[in-house]
Amino acid sequence: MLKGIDISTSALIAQRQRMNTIAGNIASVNVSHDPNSGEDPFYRRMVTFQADTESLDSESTGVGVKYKIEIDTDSELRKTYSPGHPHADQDGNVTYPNIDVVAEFVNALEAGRAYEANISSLDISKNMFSTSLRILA
Amino acid sequence: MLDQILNTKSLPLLEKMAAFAERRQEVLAGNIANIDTPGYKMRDLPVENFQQALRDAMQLEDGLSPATAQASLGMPAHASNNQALESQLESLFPRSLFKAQESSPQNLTFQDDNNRSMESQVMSMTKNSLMQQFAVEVMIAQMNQLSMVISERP
Repeated sequence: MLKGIDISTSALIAQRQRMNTIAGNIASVNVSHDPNSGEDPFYRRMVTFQADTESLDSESTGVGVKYKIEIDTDSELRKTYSPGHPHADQDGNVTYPNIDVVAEFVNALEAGRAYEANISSLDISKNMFSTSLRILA
Repeated sequence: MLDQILNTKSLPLLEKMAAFAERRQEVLAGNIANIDTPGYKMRDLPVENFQQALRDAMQLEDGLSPATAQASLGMPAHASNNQALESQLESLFPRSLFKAQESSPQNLTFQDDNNRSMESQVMSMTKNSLMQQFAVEVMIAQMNQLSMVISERP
């Protein structure tokens, strides 16, 4: 019974992390210099989900979710011609991150809805637990 | 003596029902947790098999009830009778009934190989929690009846 709560919590954590990552992406949409990696621009971060099948007895019961933060270096970076920009290359192009704000917003919406769904399922688990406790009374 | 009142008829079945509902809630919570996981397939417990087992158990108890009625009147051999009933109940509800399996592919499978369906999941979850609530309420009502009989006042 309490396992249901753990499972929903794992999903809440994962969805919140996804939301944080999206917020970071949107905040960095115009970052032309990543201070951590020198000349490179900021690359889009993304959260990937995986069913947590490593836990005990996972074949026959509900499973939680695991997340991993990955860096998307595959999609194309945005280049804007603006000579005179301190980060412009020899041709006068400034490279901006491969972040599409619209896609990020859609993902944020999805994360928010999934978070809500997990809250509801947590609520149901909780109510069932307190119902069971009433047998004692 | 209490054992015979508590372990016959509906109480053990209600107990199974609540246990099943609680187990199923875990599985359904796992489905909602993995609503965005690529490649995840929705799971469920074998609900129909469980209900069939409940039905079988009811018939079994109906068949056995005269014997248990005799037993409760103080006839000998009641203990073994009770045990027989219990073991039969156990064989009707094997552990496989409490194991999740991937549900039949009736839903649309999305491009990420996940066959999510939020509506049906939430629906089963609500029904399931009502079923558990029902089982517990009936259990409590029976306990109350029993304590009314014991205390001889309403």
